[in-house]
Amino acid sequence: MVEVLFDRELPDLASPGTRAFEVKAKGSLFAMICDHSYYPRYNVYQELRRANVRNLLTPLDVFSIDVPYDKTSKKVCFIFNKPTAQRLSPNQQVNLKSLRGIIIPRICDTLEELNSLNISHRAIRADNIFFNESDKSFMLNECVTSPPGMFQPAVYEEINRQLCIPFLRGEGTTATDLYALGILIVNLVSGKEPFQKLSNQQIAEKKFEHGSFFALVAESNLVSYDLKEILQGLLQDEKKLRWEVKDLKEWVSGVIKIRNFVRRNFKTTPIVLVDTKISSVIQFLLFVINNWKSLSTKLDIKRIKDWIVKNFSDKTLVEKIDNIIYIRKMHLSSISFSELALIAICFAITGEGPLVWRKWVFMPDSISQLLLYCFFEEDSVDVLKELVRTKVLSGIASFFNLPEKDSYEILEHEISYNFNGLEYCLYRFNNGIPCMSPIIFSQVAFNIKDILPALERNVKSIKKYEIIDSHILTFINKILKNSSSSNYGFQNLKDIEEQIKVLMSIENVNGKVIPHQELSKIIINYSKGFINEYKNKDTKEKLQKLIDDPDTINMSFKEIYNMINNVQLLRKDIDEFRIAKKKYKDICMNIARISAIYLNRHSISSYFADKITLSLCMFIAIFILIIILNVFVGGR
Amino acid sequence: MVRSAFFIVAVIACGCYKPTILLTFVFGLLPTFFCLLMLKSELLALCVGIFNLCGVLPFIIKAIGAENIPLEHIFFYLFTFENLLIMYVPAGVGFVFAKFVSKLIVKVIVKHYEKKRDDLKKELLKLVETWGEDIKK
Repeated sequence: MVEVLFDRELPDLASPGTRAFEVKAKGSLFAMICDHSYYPRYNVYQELRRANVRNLLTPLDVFSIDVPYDKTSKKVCFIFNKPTAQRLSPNQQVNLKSLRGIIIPRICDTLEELNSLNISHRAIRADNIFFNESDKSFMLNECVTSPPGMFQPAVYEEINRQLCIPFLRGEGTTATDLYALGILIVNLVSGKEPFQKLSNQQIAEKKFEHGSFFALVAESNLVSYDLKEILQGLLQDEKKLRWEVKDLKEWVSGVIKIRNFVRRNFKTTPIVLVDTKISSVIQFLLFVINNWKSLSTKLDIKRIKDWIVKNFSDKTLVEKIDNIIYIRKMHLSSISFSELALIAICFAITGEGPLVWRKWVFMPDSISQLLLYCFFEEDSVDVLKELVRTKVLSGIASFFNLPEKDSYEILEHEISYNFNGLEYCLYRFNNGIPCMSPIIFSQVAFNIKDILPALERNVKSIKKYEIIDSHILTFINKILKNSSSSNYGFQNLKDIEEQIKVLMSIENVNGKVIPHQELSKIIINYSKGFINEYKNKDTKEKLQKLIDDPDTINMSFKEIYNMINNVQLLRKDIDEFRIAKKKYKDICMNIARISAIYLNRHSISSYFADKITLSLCMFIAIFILIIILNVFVGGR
Repeated sequence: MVRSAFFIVAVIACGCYKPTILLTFVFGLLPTFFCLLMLKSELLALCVGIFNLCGVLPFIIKAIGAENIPLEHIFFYLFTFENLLIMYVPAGVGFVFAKFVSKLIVKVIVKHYEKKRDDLKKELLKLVETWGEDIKK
């Protein structure tokens, strides 16, 4: 682990939501420390670490670190090689030669490699590019420290994604990155971020009304530039018609490839929703987003269906909506039928999202972020659980053939049948994310071996004998067996013995035993109770001595636990106690018998003394008789 | 039972039907008859009887062996000081024996069992000390 020099900040290298610092290490490295430990794309980091993607700032390492500016919690620190070029500004103009000759080809190479890894960058924008015109050095900024697309200006996002909550814009695909590249080209050529002064919804409406290409070209006066083909190819709103990486490569190599630009059908026949006249899909969507509450109580589903039949060429849409809402309505709880219809209708009319649900607007491929979002938004967990249990999400994914179908089905299954299934899915869909347990939240535990040190450091947050909570257990279960219901059960979690067993297992997984003195103290304190189970005073004293031994806290949990809760010793103690108890009873009976018979003078006299006396008497008498007989009979 | 035994002995003696024997028997065993009739302790009577019989037995043997001895001679013979001493002193020894040896034996036995009881009590205490109060349950 490198040493981060917190007194030497590098603000020019920091990505949004991070702070950058110099590090003390060989080579030209710097550290990027994330404000929030749970936002980075850990799964992307793991993939990128394995591959060496060209022209992309790739993290070399990640670890949690204590920072002097926030002592409440640890932070996640990524280590990068310093880029040699300067960061571009969103208002910086780049000449066409550099753009065509360096920036676009380099980004094309990077996207090609990312595409082969099935990763989207989701942060292609002007200020994420390090470029020196003089030495032609180029580097695309990292894409791991923040959720996909979260800090992208709205204009850089596809229309449906820009309507979403920034956190929930979704993973996207290379096509999403190519769209952003189109916007980047417009930005760099014009020297300003397009539609800077417009709101998110206004930009969406503009893009929808004219199509992204026409809206942006008109906005930036780019008609005269020789970039028509590439922009037309990249700024296609229809994904199927948008250029792919290979098309871009061909363009870079000089092949002119003109594809017809298809504009979405913007206008529809008007429909009145809650006294408002709607005459386009985007207006419908925005109206639903802004008026969910009123719509969910007064929704004329039949009228909307008629409107859909009139305006959309896909005649199966209504049938799909019906299938989604009618099949699913048996699962309704507090969710109204209108609400369920709304989410299905909104998705059906766009065909690719966003999914609109009360205050949430999210893309279907943002499932991993959605789970994370719920954990940080109060009451959202219950809302999501309720929504997932209606099966509307998997219904939409199924009827519209979304690639996320399996993910939603897993989510439904886990939420419906497994305790903490939601959190299990969170770990599953955000591979590499730290454990969410409030006990070790601030300590950023990435894997099982981090849990014990984290617990050790945060031992004060542990309530009495509640070392392992359901979050830690879910985290362990995910890592160990990829199933929330396997390995360790939640039902016995209140039993400290079960917790100690989990701790022992964690220690076992870690392999090397490192003393965790504070945790050992808790186990020892608890284990004192075991001593009372022993009856033998000597055994108790021996165990107490072992517990009081200062070296004991340096032992492994298994050793401590087994030392005190030694089954063989306990069984031996029980057996010996049973024997001793019998012996005690026998002795008591003996004492009573002795007291009653042998210490009662009258009874001794009648039973023993008289008989002995008489016997003695007889013996002496016989002896005397023999003498007499000898004297008298023998004498004669 | 003791009384019956002496009665049987007496009957056998009478069965011999020699006035000298009967006389020796009756006079010789006077302390025994006294104990049998006047004292409640069987042990005392038995001890006195056994020892008394030992004292009287030589005279009975003598009486059995002697023939045609006039009855008055027997009287004089039995009532000499030495002969009375021979007959009655063993009875006295028997009385002392029964009276004190018995008590001595009782004392020895009690002492022995008191020690045994104390040892057992110590063992109990040790058990309670080792295994706790639960052992009493």
